[in-house]
Amino acid sequence: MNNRELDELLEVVKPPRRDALYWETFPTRVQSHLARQRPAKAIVNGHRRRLQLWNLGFASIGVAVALFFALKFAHSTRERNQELETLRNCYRETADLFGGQLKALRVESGAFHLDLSDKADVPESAPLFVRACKNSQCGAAVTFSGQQIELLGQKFEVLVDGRGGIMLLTQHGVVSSADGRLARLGRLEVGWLNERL
Amino acid sequence: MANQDEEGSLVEASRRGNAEAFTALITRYQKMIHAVTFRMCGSAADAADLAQETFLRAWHNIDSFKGKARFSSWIYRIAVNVCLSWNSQRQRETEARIRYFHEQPADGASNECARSQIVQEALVKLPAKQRAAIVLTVYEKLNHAEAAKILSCSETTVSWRVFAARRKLKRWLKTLSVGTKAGEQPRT
Repeated sequence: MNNRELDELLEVVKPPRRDALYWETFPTRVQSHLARQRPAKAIVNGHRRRLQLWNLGFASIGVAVALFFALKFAHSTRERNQELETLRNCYRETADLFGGQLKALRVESGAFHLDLSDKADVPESAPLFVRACKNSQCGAAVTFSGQQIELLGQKFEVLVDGRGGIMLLTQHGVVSSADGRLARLGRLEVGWLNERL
Repeated sequence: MANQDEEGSLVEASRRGNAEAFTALITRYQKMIHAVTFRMCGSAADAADLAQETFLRAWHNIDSFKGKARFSSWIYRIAVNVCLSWNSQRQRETEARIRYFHEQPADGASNECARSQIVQEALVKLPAKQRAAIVLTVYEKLNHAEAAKILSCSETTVSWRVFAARRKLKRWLKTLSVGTKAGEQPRT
């Protein structure tokens, strides 16, 4: 079955027919619900001033917290960039040694691991990096499109589409970058290894 | 263009609390939203409740509509989010109940009804986010970029979800495409 045939089959599903009266009265039913909810607004208005003072207090706390995390982020960014630079250098040295066999180069808890294929059957493609953090630990890997890797006990599959977009498939979701630029989702990152960070 | 200006005025008036303006917006979009909610949940009764919930949320959040996107995209997003929330509650039920409300005559349209029910069951079996991607791209004819804005994800993710959903649907519905009896259930 091709996509066109599937679409024709899907078009068989039509929304149920409803009579004209239903459509005439639907907006009224929505408005009735809204009318029942409206009295709550009058009570809220009476507390608005107190709410504004609370908001100011929370905003101040928010700014302090944001500043704390900004400083922490700056420190961890430096650490991350150093880690990726090390990975790049390591990759350059190992790529030639294991031509066609290197599936991934991983660094976890300061230790390097090579994932090698038994045969020289790893397709040649531009290297990607994946970085994952869990609790206070981070791990990074250099790998290639179509490979499956494991970092910090989590499994990932990396895919590149024809337009240079990168997708990182995890058990929890997808991190993707349509144009191949660095993409982040929470504590996961994926991008081209040779791009400037 | 005149249509969009008129819609802009209705939205502005709704923001100021004008119930009649909001009623006009409901009238304009009610069929579209009912179609989306029905395809997301597979039940006519639930689709009506979800459509109502969509408009209630739209009223309460109308201030957040900045006018940069089309109103239809904004209300699509609300409808999809309402359906995704509904879906996560429904997953706790042990059996997915599909109530197909139809008024088909009994004179030979029953085969078409059966096919439609099988396809709808297959749609509802999809993971919710994949189903949303299919509903927006196949039924509502949005391109992947438009669907991505509504689903608050990247275009690549939409492409992936559509690809994955089509793969599952083709597997489940292949018996229908070769004219096998319409009573067969899709296999997982």
